[in-house]
Amino acid sequence: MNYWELRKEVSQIIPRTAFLFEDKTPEVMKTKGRKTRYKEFSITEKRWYDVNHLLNLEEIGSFIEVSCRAAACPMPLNIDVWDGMSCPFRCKYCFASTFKTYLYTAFFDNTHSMGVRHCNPNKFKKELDVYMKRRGQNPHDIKGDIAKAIVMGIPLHFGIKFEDFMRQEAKKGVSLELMKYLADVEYPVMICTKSDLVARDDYVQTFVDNKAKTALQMTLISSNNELLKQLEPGAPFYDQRIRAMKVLSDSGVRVVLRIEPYIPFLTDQKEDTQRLIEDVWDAGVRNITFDNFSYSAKNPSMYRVFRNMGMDLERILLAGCDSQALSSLLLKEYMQMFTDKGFSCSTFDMGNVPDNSQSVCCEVEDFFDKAGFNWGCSVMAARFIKSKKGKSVSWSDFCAWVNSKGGFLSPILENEVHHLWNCDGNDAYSQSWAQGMTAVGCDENGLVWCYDKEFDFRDDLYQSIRKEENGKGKRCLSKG
Amino acid sequence: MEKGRGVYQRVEDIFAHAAALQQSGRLKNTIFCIKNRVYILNQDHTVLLKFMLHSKALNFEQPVSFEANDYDSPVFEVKDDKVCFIKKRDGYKCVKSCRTPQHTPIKMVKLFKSFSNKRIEKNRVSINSSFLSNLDTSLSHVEFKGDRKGLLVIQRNIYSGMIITIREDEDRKGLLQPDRSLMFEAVGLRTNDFVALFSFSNNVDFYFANEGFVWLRSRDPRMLFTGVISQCIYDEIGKV
Repeated sequence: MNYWELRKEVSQIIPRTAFLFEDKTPEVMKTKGRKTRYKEFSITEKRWYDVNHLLNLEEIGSFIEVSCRAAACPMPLNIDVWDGMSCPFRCKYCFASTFKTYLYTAFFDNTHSMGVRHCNPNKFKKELDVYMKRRGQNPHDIKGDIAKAIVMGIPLHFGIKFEDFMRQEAKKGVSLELMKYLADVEYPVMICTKSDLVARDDYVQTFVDNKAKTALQMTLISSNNELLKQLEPGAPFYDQRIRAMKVLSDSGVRVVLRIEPYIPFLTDQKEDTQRLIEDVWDAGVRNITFDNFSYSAKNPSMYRVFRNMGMDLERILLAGCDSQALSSLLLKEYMQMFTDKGFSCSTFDMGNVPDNSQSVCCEVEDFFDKAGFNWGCSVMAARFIKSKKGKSVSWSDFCAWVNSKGGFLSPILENEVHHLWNCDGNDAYSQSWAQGMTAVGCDENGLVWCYDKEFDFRDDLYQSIRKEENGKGKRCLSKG
Repeated sequence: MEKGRGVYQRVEDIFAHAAALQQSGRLKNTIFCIKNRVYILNQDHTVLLKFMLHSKALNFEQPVSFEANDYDSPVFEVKDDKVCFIKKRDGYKCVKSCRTPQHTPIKMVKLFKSFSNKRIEKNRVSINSSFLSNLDTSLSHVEFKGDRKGLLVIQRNIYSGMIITIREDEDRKGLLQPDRSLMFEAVGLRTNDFVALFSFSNNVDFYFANEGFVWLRSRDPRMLFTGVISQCIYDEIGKV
């Protein structure tokens, strides 16, 4: 069954709501109300005080962190250069804006006048100098997850929470300055962006100058410009991004097309997909990373935004992430169309991780010569179990493998990954969701796993609820 | 509704049910009152109900609308584009002043009429609230289909693979499906929308013959209403 057949069948399982009337309700970001002109009276000093919690609107206080998704992610070292309450690209599916608005307005009184802000280059260079001096040491001797990640050479990932290459960057060059610093110290860089600024000569030169290499993920979820204008109204047009990809790949920068979020029934129209495949291939790109819509998008503001555009977000989320089995199966077949063309394809969607072209789902494992990765995470656990070709794999086996590559980034993270190994904690990120993962026993550290090529819970679930079979499909297996 | 006048018990019941639906998390509703009619529209714009008030004494001369959850007292008035709910208790007067919703009662009248004009009252299925015990209300959709054997109701659990199929028992035949010629393609309804209707009435007739919506009519004499509920369509379109 190909993608289009599967898509049709899923459409017979999850319907689209025909709203009674089209409507534009105000897209007000949920903000936390704070008192204005609030004062408190000091009894001892007998006078009124202004009580304000003020956010530094010019400068970001901290800028480097190990992601809260590090228990699953092979490249969790993130750097925040730019920040703001809302990103100028205004992507409708971006839940980060919703969260930021809510959080900033919950804790600070001066966010109404907030534009964009950035980190202080002089400050961050000093901070990074301290970390960089430790490179070359044995990772096992390093304490602190950021320090250890840098000693292991995990690429610094730009643009995870905010766009770092927008119009303001073109004037101020803050990201550029940081890139130059990283090129000087020869540290690997990974960029995630929708901007075509990255194809400007000075940026390209800086990427090329970095002997530890620079890879860039260009997010482009469809080739339909009209749809993109609706979904990403402030972002560069389709052709601009394709041109930028060509400039960069011609210059030797690893360009990875990032299709995230993959939105079933919306960004996956047949002609649009075909055009995307051809154009990206012609731009010299050979690597693609995919991911489904995040569960975090399930909030009332997002539903309203999509309904205003005449789109049924409920259906998109049910098919695109809520049902882990169906969404993963759809993504598998969607990716297959790109694989058939000759692309190297990977995804963070756990169901498909065993079939990824590369172990690092960002599609850069083969590109960086000097980089390390976060081997102690659940994505790597799934890959490790599969690599054992059906043999039983215990937690001790996995730990030994991770330790041979530098170890876990921290004891806390090791504990978290161990929980995922045993399907505890936030098990949405457990390797147990990966195709073929079968628990075959227990030892003193919990579950023992093996990879069974024939076992696919996604297919079992799909067969049991598909309409054509009328519920008389294969056995029905549920996770959990 | 005349300024500050209390509404009758039946109207209060409608308001209270609408508010309860929101508090239970099932439907967030807006209430619109105009002349002797009360309309309820849910926030997602998938359910629109019209209640007719027969008493001549009860007449909302001045159209009024408010969020169901704001409803606080049968005594209310409209003041400066705000709805004020007034409670008097133990020597105190409490006024709760609320913003009025985006849409107006007049818009609801027109909207409802647009559905009413094109309704086709065919493929009738009469459902009693006891039917709900067969459903898994945690699942997003419930599917209705008319085939040679009569009515078929299906729920698919896209998380576990379980399927619930419901047909009318042979002994009861004719109660659920009074229309003999019941043949229609699969129509999905949002489970929350469907279940919410039975908060107002124990018996509801559904007419599965309209494009894009299902026409419905309450058969409970204490809570008569007509309405429309959005269809969920099994197509491959991402846009509405």
